[in-house]
Amino acid sequence: MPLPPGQQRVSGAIPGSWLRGVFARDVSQGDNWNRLMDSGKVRFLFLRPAVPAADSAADDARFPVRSLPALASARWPETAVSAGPDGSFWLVHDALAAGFSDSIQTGPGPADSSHAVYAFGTGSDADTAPRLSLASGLQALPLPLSNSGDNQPQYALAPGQDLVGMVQITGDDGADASYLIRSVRDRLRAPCHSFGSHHRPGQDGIVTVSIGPQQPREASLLQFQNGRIYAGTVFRVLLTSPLLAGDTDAVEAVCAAMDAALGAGSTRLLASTMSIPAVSGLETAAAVPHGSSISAGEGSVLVFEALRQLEDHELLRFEHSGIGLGLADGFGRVVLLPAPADAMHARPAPAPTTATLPSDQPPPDVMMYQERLVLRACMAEARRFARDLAASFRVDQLPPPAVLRRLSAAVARQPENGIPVLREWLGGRAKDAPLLRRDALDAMGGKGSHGTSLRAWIQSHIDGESRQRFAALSRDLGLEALCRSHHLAGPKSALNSLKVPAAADGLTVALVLEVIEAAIARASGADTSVPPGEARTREGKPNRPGRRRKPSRPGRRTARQWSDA
Amino acid sequence: MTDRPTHIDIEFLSDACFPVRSALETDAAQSTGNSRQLAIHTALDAGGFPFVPARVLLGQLRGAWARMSGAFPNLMDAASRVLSLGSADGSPSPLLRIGDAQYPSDVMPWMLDAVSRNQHPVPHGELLRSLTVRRQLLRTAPPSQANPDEAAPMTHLDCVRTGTRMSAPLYWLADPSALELRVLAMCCLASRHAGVQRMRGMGHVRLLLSGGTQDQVSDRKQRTAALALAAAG
Repeated sequence: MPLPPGQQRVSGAIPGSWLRGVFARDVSQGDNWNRLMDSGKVRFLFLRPAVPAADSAADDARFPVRSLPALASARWPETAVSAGPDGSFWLVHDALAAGFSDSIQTGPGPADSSHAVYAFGTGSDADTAPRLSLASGLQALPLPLSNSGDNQPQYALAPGQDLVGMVQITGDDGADASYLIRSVRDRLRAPCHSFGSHHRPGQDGIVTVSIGPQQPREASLLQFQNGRIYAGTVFRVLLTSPLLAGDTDAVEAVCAAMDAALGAGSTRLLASTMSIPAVSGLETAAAVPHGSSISAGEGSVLVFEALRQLEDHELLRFEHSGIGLGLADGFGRVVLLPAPADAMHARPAPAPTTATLPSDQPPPDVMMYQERLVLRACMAEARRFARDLAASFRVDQLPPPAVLRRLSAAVARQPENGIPVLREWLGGRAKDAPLLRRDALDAMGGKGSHGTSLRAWIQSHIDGESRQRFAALSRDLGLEALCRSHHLAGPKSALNSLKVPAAADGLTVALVLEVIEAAIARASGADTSVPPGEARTREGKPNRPGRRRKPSRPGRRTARQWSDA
Repeated sequence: MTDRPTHIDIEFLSDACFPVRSALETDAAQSTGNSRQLAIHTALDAGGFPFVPARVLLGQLRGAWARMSGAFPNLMDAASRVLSLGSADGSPSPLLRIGDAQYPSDVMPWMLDAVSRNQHPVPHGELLRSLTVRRQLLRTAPPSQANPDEAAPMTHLDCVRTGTRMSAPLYWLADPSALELRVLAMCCLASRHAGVQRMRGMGHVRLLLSGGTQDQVSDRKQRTAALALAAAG
């Protein structure tokens, strides 16, 4: 399903500083909490769109298998890695599109955005499969440019999106970790939170947070390196969030971090491919510490060879420690991958969700809007049909416009009794009602190009039972087709709403009035050679002032004499 | 824990218009002379459907409180928290966030499906015209200075129809007290007119608190009135 108008997909993730800001809003937290935030023991990792786990399907056309621009330039190291068999290579996080410049992100939209936050400490057992969000694209709302003349595009997250993130808690010991986890959980238990910045009514960034179970690592859906790495084994380090290395080269920073965690001389760098530093999308420029810049974007890969046996706990410590600056906001995260496989396949994103329609009876409000929608379509079709029907008659096959106007006025005076009035007027003289004479009725009997006369057409719509009248109406207006294209709760329900006698008769009367009006226009405006304002006699000659009118021939009556008043 | 309402239901008892942009001026040149027409449309959300911006709703509640605050001095603190009025002494942070009022959650899926379905989608303009009604106002704007002989512009308002029902979500950042609920209920009951031309027969609305369920109008009225008349805690 295409995105609603005004929304667009934005690749990227939200830095953890936004989630940390939720805690910073309440000034009553106290000094203990502020010290805790400054200690570095609690890190808020990036938030990404939530994608449920699914079976691997690399050939699923729905999931866009992307490759980094660096890969496309054939700088991918050839010694130990290889691209997939189809030439594409998929990584955990999308390379952010270069179309967006640095933008000031406002808070997400209101309503129903939820964040599942998993808190994990050290040494906990993993009891559920971890969830790492795939950057399938967040839905954003472009906002009008600010009055300050800043041309940077601004975006707000559209409501209804689920994001997944993690909070990494590092305690000095088990008791400390438990206390920290409990503290974070308690502060996320409020009914809802105000997220993001630049709040205003309607864009308060209301989110609800649910906390999931603890996880041992920030793992991924990919097959990550698990267990020890033997000497001589080739493995990879994947940056899952941008790296802030300061003045140091990104590759050197990763190597230095690995030496610090595993010891100097434990590994040897074979090859590396650093992605384009991502400064676009929803990564807030303000999240980058002052004086720093993004050295390497997420998706960068470095290939190492183990020179000695590397134990599991050493590798886990390297993963948890992070690299570079901005660790508290989720920058510099890495994950270890095994030697390059033939291809890394992404688990496809779920099919775009469509509107969930209730299965039982439609609500009354929908019926109200549906009826209006269908009636508008019917009246538009009625006007078109009336023009076509009137055009099929010659002018001399139509009664004088004044006669038609009297008929139209009589029906319009009591539209709710339109059908009885029409029967009365077209059925001959009644006891005390002014009606059309036989001559006038005969004048309406002239058959048009399609073989029916105006009188016969009107009679077909007012005679018979309601079912017969509805059948004639449906035939002329194509009600079934209209209901198929203009329904809200189903074409059958739309058609049933028109079958109600009151609605059907009202539509019939409206259609007849449209036809009469179109016939009036046809009869009075057929000859355009007469200047406007100049009358024209029944014989078709202009009635100029001063011209003596010839006496009408016997048997021919004036317009007023066609009906008795 | 106090049972807190989750939505403010808005019932339109007359046509109402909530424009967010300046008048869209279009030139409608006729065969004789020039005539300018101004078409003002009510606010549309990202999906292209009419809605009531949260700032309008919050403004209505604040305006209602401003008119009656003098009679309820004991509710000043509660009102400052509920209506985000702020205070000089640094009172606690606001308690309530109000979202935009949109069509009910049981109606929107039908309309979204109608415009986005693969077979026979309803043109969005057709659906929008069935949701709104066009009202033509008298010539109220003065003729332009450049051409005094030019006819004054006619103004069309595309309004939300009478009988429409919308719902604005309420987000409580903490559990409200009875006084705070009372302030909210009183402000809802005191808000009667909203939008443009509200002093000329348009914009007659009814605000009721609800729990987000399919309550009857009488139930919502009863609940709102009960909250408003609750004894001070």
